[in-house]
Amino acid sequence: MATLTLNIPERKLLSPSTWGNRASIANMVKKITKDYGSFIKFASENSKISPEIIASFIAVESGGKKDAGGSGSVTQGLMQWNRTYAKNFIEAEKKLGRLSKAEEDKLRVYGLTFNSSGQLNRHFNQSDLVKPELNILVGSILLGQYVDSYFDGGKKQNNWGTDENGVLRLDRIIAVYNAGAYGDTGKKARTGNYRTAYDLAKAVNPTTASYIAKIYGVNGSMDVATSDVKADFTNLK
Amino acid sequence: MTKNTKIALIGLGLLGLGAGMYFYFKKKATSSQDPQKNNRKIEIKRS
Repeated sequence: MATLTLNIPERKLLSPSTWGNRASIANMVKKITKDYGSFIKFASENSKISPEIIASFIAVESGGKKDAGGSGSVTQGLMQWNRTYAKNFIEAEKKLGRLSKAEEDKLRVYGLTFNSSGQLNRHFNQSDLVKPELNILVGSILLGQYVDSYFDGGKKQNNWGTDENGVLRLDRIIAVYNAGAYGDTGKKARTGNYRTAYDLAKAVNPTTASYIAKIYGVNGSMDVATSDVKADFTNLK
Repeated sequence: MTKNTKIALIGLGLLGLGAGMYFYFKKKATSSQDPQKNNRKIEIKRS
């Protein structure tokens, strides 16, 4: 069993006060576990991504609003993944042998099935985005690929989701999740060799830097999820 | 050993077998074939 460590919070980063104070972030994360706990638990068991991480991405991406982003957005929903690319990375998960039976069964519940070549029967549509269980499942699969240093359906470079000491580089994952793998920010995250989350946050665009601080920094969603509302995650493991 | 004790022991054995099968199949269903994903554990530490 490979154990990836993640040290929370990154002390040199502070979650922006404009996002809310510590108590309000804690309340938001608590509500997310209350509203979507069973979906987070299922996604966590299958993607092997900690429920605190999944809940944190929901918090920062949508604040727990299932229809966040608006009906005209291809990234609408709890985890704000892009439906244009979802078919590709879910098919990649299947072709790589990473999709569990339970995940495949769950996709089938939402009318998404694979043919004998491993292709999905259809693209993800706007209606899929606002279904909390499906949105969390797909977002967690994408996070799992990033943790294992995959992007765009394959392993195109050496490890970037973790460092040489087996430390999970959540900052890089947040940056690629938020800004994409191929732009300036994504390239800096994957190949920039920034030593700490603080260093990466200083180098990337302000929006992504803010995302990193909101999830990874002091008073951020991971900080409160692993302390103030830690008990709310007990049942999700 | 009385007849009731034997029945109770068989019942407990069956219960244990059922629980074992439940957890075995649950783990199997939630495990992918990819060793990297399947054998990964994230340990969160407070810094």
